[in-house]
Amino acid sequence: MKERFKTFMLISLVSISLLLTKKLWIELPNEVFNFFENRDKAYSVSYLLSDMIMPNKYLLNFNDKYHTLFYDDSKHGLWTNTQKILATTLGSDDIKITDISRDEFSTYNWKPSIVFYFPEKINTYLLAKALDVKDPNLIVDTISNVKSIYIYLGNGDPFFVLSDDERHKLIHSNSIDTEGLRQQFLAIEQDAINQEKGYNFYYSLKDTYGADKDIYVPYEMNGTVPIVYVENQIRNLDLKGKREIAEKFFEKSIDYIREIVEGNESTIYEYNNKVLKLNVNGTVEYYHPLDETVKKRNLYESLITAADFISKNAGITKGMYLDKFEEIKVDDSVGYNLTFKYRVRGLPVILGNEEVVDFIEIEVFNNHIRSYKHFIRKDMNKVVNSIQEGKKMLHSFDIIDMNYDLLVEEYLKENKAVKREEVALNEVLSFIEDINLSYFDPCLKDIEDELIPVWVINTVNGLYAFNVYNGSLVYEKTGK
Amino acid sequence: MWKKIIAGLIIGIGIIALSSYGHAQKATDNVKVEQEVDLSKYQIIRPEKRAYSIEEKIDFINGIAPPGTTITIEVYGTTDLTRKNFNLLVLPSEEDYIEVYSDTIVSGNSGTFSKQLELVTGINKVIIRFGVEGVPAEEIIIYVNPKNNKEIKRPNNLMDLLIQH
Repeated sequence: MKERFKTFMLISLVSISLLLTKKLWIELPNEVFNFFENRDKAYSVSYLLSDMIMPNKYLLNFNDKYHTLFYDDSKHGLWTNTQKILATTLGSDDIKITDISRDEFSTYNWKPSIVFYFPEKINTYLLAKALDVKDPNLIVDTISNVKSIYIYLGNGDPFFVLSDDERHKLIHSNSIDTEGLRQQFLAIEQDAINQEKGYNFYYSLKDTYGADKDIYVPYEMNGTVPIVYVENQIRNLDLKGKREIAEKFFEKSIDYIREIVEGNESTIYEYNNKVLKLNVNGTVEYYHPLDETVKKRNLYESLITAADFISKNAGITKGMYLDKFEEIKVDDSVGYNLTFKYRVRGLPVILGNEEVVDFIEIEVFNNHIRSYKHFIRKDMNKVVNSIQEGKKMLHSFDIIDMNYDLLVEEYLKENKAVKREEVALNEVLSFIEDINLSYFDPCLKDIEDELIPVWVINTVNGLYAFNVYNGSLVYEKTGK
Repeated sequence: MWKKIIAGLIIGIGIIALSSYGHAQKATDNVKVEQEVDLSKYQIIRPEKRAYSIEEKIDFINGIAPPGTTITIEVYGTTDLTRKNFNLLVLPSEEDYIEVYSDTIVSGNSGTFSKQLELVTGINKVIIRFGVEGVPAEEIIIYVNPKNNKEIKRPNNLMDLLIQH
C-alpha cells in the first residue's frame, strides 16, 4: 500500500513538473497547429480584402411601389449573408448567363430583391478572390467589372444580375440558395411597411419624374444622422508616440532609426533607404524606392500587399474601403495607385482638406510598397445626444429642389446649346449621376471637429455636398 | 319718310355693329382667361390612375405646378360601420367620408410637389387642390385592401427572443 502511494505521488509530481515546465518553454504538437491557426488569423489578408471590397449602399425592393435603402449594413448584415451565396455562384460549374437590356433590368427593381451598389467598379476576379473562391468560373471573364450586384428574392428560381452600368448579366444557378436571406428580407419588409422602425421609402427619379437614371431618393425622411466628433490620429501624438509609429513601420527598434525633427514640428524617420514623415498637418508619408524593375503588374498580389501593409501600419481598418485603383508606370516598372476611403458609423466621409484628397493612397508594385500616404481622422466616440434638437433632416429631393437653379446652371455649362427656358426637369434630373448620404469633414480642428452630415449629389460636372439640415452647399469639387 | 327710313337703318346697323362688337369682346375676354391659366402646368404625375387598389397603407403622389403654388391635399377615409363593404365598385356616398387629415405644401424651385400619403384601410378619397382659379381639383380614390401577413421566420438570435418576450 505504501509503495503504491509512493508511485502515485511520484507520478503526480512528474505530471505537475511537466505542466509547469510546459508553461515556460515546451510546445506540444497540438499547440504548434494552434500557433499556425492564430498566425493565419493575424495575417489573414483575405479577410481584410473582403472587408475593403464592400458595397456603399443597399437598395431593398419590396415590390414596384416600395423600396428602401441602407447605407449602414451593420444592423442587418445583408452583404455578409449574401457573400457566401455569391461565392458559391462564382465558383459553380453549373451556371447559365444571359444578357439583359438596360430597360429590362430597370424593371427588375419592381420585384422582391436586393441591389448592392459599390462605390466604384470592382474587378470581378478580385471580388471572387476576396470571397475566397479558389477557382472562379467564366462569370469573371464574361463581365470583368461590377458596379452593382442584384439578387432576386421573390418566388421561383433565385438569380443574380451582375452589372457594370453598361452591361447586365443575369446568372442562374442551381447552387443559389437564398432561403435564409429571403426570410430576413421579408422580416425587414414587414417592419418597413408597418412603419414600425422608422424606415424611409425611396422612389426612383425615373418613375417619379421621367429621369434617365434609376436613382432612388426619399421624399419623406425619418430620423437624424448621429453627431460625430473626430480627431487627427497623428497631430495629437507626443515624441514617444511618433517613435512607436516609426518602430512599427520599420519593424526595428528606434535605436536603429535616424530621426530628424523639422522646424515646423514635422518629424522624419529614416532606415535602410526607407523614409517615413509624420507631418504637422496629420498626414503620414512613407517612401521606399523600388529595388528592382517590376515588368508585369498583378492586381490581386498588389492588393494583398497593400492590405497587409495597411493592417500592420494604419491602425484603423474598420470602415476603410477601396475607392479606386489606377495603373501607373514609374521608370520602367508598372504597378497600381490605390486609394482608400473610410466610413464613420456606416457613412462615407468626404475630406474638406485641400492638401489631402484621399485617406490612404498607396503606390504598390506587386509585393513592394513604393509610397504610402495616409490622413486618418478617428471617431472620438464622444457620447452626445444623438438627436439634434429642433433639427429636421431634409430629404434628398428637398436638396435638389432648394438648389435647382444651381443644378440648372451646371447643366447649362455642359449643354451650351440649350437655352435656360428650354431646360426640362427630367433633363436636369438625368444630369445627376448619384445621390448619397455622407459626412463632410471640414478639417478645421485637430481635435473635436464635428462632422457635417451631407447629401452628396454627383453630376457629370462634379460633386456637390449639401448640409442635410439646411440644404446649404458646404463643399463642391468640380472637374471630371 | 325717306329721312325716317335712313335714320332707322343707321340706328339698326349701329345696333347690329355694336352687338357683334360686344360679342367679339366677350369671346376675346374668354380667350384671355384661358390663356392666363395653362392647365398643362398643373398636373398629377403619379398615380396615373384616378381609382385603384393597394395592399399597404402608404402611397405616394407627385406632380408639377409652377414654383410657389400652394397645394392642399385632403385625405378622407370611410369608417364603414354600416357594413356596406365598400370597394372600387361600391363606393361610399359623400356622407360616409370623414376627413383623416389635410396638408398644405408649396411647389418648390423645380416646379414640383410630392407627398407620401398615410392612408386608412378601406376606401380613401384624396383631393388635391391647386388653389388657383380655373384649375380644377383632382380626386383620387384609393382602396386599401390589406393582404394577409406573410409567414416569416425571423432570425433566431438572442435579441429577437428578448424582444418577443
